[in-house]
Amino acid sequence: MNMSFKEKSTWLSLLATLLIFGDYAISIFTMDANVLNPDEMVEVAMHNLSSAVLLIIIVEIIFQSLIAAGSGNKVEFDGDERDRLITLSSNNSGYWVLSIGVIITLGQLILPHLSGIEFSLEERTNIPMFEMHLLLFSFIVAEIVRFSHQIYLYRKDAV
Amino acid sequence: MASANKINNKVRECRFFANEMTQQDLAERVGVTRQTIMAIEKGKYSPSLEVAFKIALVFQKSLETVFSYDGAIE
Repeated sequence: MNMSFKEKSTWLSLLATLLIFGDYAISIFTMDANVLNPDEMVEVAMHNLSSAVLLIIIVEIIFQSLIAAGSGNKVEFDGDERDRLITLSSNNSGYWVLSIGVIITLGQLILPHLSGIEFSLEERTNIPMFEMHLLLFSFIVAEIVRFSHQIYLYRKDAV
Repeated sequence: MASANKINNKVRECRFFANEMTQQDLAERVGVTRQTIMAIEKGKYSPSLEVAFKIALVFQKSLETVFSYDGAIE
């Protein structure tokens, strides 16, 4: 397949994010409140999160360096005007997803106080540090949307 | 990133008449990636004025010879 450095780099980031944070999300959503107490759930979540962050940093450094070593062209490495347009457009998509996540999190925090209605998404799930995870998953989904949109735009022009 | 493209170009033809210059050669001389030249040739991406002028300069032709616009003014 005919791909520039930027496109290969985006594919790598997308796959790494999907695999590493997908695995983290599964570990969080499948936590059993009958087996672990709330403190243990927080401890396990923090351990898994720090492992995921460390792993994605290592994977990105190693594989991005390998891809960069394979592209000897400075223009390809820095990107040109089309790369910048594609990046801007896909950043916009990611921004919308992240904004929705932030609004949902704020709503979850503020609405019960404003309306006096006792409603919390947190009570309906077993997710430890619920608001933090809501923001974290919003960020991860925003990144996935951003990378996917970027790849879509690269492929659309290449066909 | 292509808009509904009404800009036509003769980049491929110009390359052919410039001793079959490769897309990579043209990309390096203009300062863009080969993928961008490919997208321009296929009419899927409209380059900036600067890149369009640079492409025309490489072939020593006027901008209007290499690029033309099909749309009408509303």
